[in-house]
Amino acid sequence: MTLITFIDSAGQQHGVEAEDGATLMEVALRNAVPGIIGECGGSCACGSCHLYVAEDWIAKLPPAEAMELDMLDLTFDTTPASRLGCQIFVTTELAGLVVTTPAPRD
Amino acid sequence: MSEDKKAPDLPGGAVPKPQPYDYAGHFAQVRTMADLMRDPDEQAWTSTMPAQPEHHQFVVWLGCNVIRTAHIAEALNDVLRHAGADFVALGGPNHCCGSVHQNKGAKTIGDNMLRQTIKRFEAFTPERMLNWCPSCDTHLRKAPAEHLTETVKSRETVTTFLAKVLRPDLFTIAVPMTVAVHAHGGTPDEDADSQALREIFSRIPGLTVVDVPAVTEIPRHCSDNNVRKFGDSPYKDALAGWVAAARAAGAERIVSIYHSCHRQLVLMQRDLPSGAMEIVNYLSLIARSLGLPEREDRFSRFAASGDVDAIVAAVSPNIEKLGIDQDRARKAMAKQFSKP
Repeated sequence: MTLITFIDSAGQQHGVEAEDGATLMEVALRNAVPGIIGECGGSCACGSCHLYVAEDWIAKLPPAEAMELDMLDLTFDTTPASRLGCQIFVTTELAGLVVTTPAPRD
Repeated sequence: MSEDKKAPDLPGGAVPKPQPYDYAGHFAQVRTMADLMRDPDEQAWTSTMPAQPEHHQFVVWLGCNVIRTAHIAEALNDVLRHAGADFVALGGPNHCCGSVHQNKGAKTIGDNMLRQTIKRFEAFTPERMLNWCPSCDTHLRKAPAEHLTETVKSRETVTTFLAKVLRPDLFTIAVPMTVAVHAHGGTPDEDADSQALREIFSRIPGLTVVDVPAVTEIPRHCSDNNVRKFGDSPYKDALAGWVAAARAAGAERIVSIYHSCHRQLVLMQRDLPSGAMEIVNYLSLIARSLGLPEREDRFSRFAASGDVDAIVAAVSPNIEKLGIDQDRARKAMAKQFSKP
């Protein structure tokens, strides 16, 4: 199990023990982290698992592949720290990862 | 770099970002509606892949939108079970064909979605894929060949499959009714489905089918996208003419084949000055004649009402049992059913 910290848009921290091999989207959903929805079920097709990676973690994550970049292009409110939770798989190397979830859209 | 990004540079070197479309909102609408419209105690389709998929002889690919008219997916499930088929039905946004992305110009993302959906079919090691949705089929035809597996290439439609497996002796209950079938015509696939449906209906005691011309102006089915391309106003006019022809031919009800046509026929008829004819999906009639419990067409009931408060009250058991957020439920119902 790997400790991941999600910070929601209200600033509340959710430290969760994540199962290796799961995606950040799955981890967030299992732990009811606000701001992560996963409407398309993790198919990299909707952008509703968009999250912002803490600056000191951006370079430590495996880089986004083309399909994730394509979807990020169509996702609202992205920044250079944006990633899709469905494309990041938990490994022990991610212990201590901090990500922020976006504010809910109306 | 994907095709979606091959846009000309703007002055100053900036690259235009594709117009954002709320894909999450689109899928949320489908998922929420499905949860509100379905039997809250049993979901008739698999939306989330099991950790270890088991083999099934058939994968039934529903696509995503049919579950907005959940009673159709439920009736199909009942009928296939009754026919003794070993199948898994995959439906909802997780099993989207990607046409929603394609229609917005995001070809690469659409292809990616399709590739993952196909991977999910194959996880069940099926012998055959049965395809429900004409949009999914159309998208498959345009998909890169390298994405297509043998299972996908040898697919057949649900309707032609049912015509093969539903033996005449299974239809034990009479359905004394005169109907007109809303069919699209002009391509071999459309004609094959229409022909298969006629064969099935010929086995239902008491059922009379009157002849009305097939819809040829709109390809395959009345999807939102096809109707948009054709134009809302011309569609309403064409529909009014078609309903009048069905009525003149003596039909008491109109039979839909596809979910999209069912939805549009129900919604567009709300404005017809001549009054609406009841729309019934062909699977409901099959189920009735097979002696299966009939699934209520909540879509038609709610569309006729248009009263969002009453609709939300009607689906409150689903809201409670499935833990659906009230605001999300209201938004989904209002978007689909409020009258303009």
